[in-house]
Order: sequence, then C-alpha cells, then structure tokens
Amino acid sequence: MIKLMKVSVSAVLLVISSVAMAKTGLRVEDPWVRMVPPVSVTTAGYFRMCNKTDADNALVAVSSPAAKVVEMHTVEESNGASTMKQIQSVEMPAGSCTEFAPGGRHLMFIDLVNPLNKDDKVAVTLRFKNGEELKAMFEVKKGKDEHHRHGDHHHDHHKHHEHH
Amino acid sequence: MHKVMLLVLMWLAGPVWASELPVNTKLGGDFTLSSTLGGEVSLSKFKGKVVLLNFGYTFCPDICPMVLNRMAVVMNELEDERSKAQPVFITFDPERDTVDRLQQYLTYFGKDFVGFTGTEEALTKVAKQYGVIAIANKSNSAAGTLYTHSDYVYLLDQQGRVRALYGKSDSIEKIVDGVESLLDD
Repeated sequence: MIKLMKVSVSAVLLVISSVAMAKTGLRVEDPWVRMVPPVSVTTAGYFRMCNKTDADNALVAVSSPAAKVVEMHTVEESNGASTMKQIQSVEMPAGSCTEFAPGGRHLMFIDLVNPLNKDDKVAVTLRFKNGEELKAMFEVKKGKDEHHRHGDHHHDHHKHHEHH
Repeated sequence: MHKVMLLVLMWLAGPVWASELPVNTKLGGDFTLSSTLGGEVSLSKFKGKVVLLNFGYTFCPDICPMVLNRMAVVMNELEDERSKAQPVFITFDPERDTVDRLQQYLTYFGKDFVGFTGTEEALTKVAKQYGVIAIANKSNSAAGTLYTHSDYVYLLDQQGRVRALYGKSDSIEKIVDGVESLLDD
C-alpha cells in the first residue's frame, strides 16, 4: 500500500513538473503549415513562439524531415510590393512571444520531400541560441480567411494575422 | 458636419453597385500569352465574363497561395453564377512556370482556373499594362530567385476593363460583392 502511494505521489509530481515546464520554458503555439498544390515544392509554416523563461534567447535554426531545407523568412512591404527576405535568427527576449504569420515572418519549407495533405502532421525541430532544441508537430491546413465563408472561421479566435 | 460624416460612412459601408466601381482607365488591356487552355490565348476570349486576375509565381510559399486560396473562396461563393466568372493567374517567373506546371498548380484551386505564361519580354509588357511590380532578386536562400512583387486581385468587367483592385486586407465578402455587382449590371 505504501509502495503504491509512493508510486502515485511520484506520478503526481511528474504531472506537476510537466505542467510547470509547459508554463515556463520555450513554447510553440498553434503551429501549422500551409496546404499547397501537390506539385508545389515550397510551402510556409506559421506559429507563435513564446519564451517564458528569465533568459533572452533566439531561434537560430529550423529543420524538418518534410523538406530538404527550412529557412526563416520575413516579408517587407513598401510601395505596394512585398519582398521576402531570409533571416538568420529571431530574437526571443525573456517573457516575450513572437508571431510567425501569413504575409509576415514565416518558415519557408524548400524542396518538399512528399506532397503534403490536409491534416498531415509535419515534425519540425527548432534550435535555439542556448543550444536547446524543441520539437513541434505542425498541422497541414488552409489559412484563416481562405476557408469557405460559411465555414468555421467566425468561431476561430486564433490570431493568424491574415490581414496586413 | 457630423451628420454628413455619418452619411458618408453609411454610404461607404453600404452595398456595392457597379456604378461605384468606376472603369480604371490607366490600367489594363488585352494580351495574348501561352495558356493552360492550350496554345496562345487572348484575354478577350473571356469577353462576357467577369474576370478575377492575379499575378504571381508558383515557387512563392506564402503570399501567392494565400491570394489564390482567397480567389478560390470567392469563386465558391458565387455558386450558380460561377460560370459567369473567370479566375486567371499570370506568372512572372516563366523560367520555372511552364504551361504544364501552371496547369498542375492551378487545378488545385479550381478546375476553371486558367494560367498564362510567356517570354520574359511578353510577361513584362503585360505586367506593365496592369501596373504590376515584379522584380527578381537573386538570394542566398536555397529557394533561389525570389520576387519583390505586388499581389492585387484585379476585377475586370465583361468587356475586360479594370473595375477594382483588391489587396490582402480586403474581405472575401467585399470581393464577392464586387463580382456580383458586375454580374447584376
């Protein structure tokens, strides 16, 4: 009986510690990859990245088995035209969150290994300045405001920042 | 004064009538390019239909598929009137975007999407007619050439005249209203 209690206490502790880790630490929220035609060899990935630690950090590299190369790009707009520019790192100050959203900063998947289908999950590894690595599963789907008007996007309060 | 402002706001927020979409006399015009319909096709082939026209390139990962998805949603919204509208995509990347590639790419957005490509010279001429910005940038990115580009959806009436330009921040509803106002004309 005591043994069993010990096991359950440690199980509870384990749950508590994993919740604590999720509340602090580095977090990826709402990760998704844009659905594109099967003939496409490129697509974009979006998410919200939060650094809930006391230390400044930076996202310095991204990789995925779904593409030969994954780069970080940003979009600069001027005089009605957009320019996509590769960026080498994204600063993640302590306690801050950063958006990767359509028409703005995004991951560019180059040379997709296989066509991506709706609801597929794409594994992505994010590498940080402090050496830490984070794995996240990105869901393949269409962007907000790209669904049928009578679809569910009116109930979708996730901030994908489709409008720029 | 406030009353006038309110009236103006109400008018702006009201339904769109074709008369509110004046003919743009500075942009547009006919062109003939290699088409996914086979051979050389002119824009004037679609006379009698409302045309939604967009310029881009299939290698573009973010903005172009987003805009094409929005065009696809607009087309779906037209339902029974779909056949009275023609979605058109013109590439400014002829090196990578062949007719076959455009065909495969556009089918995904709708079987009625028509693509155009051509020589760099011919495409530059059409881009200029429509005031499109498309500048190739050689980058260190593994993606190779990326473009600085505008991304408007052009609304053309049944005579092929430019009646409106829609940006990424315009709602789907606004574009559908624009198309329907021309169909009601």
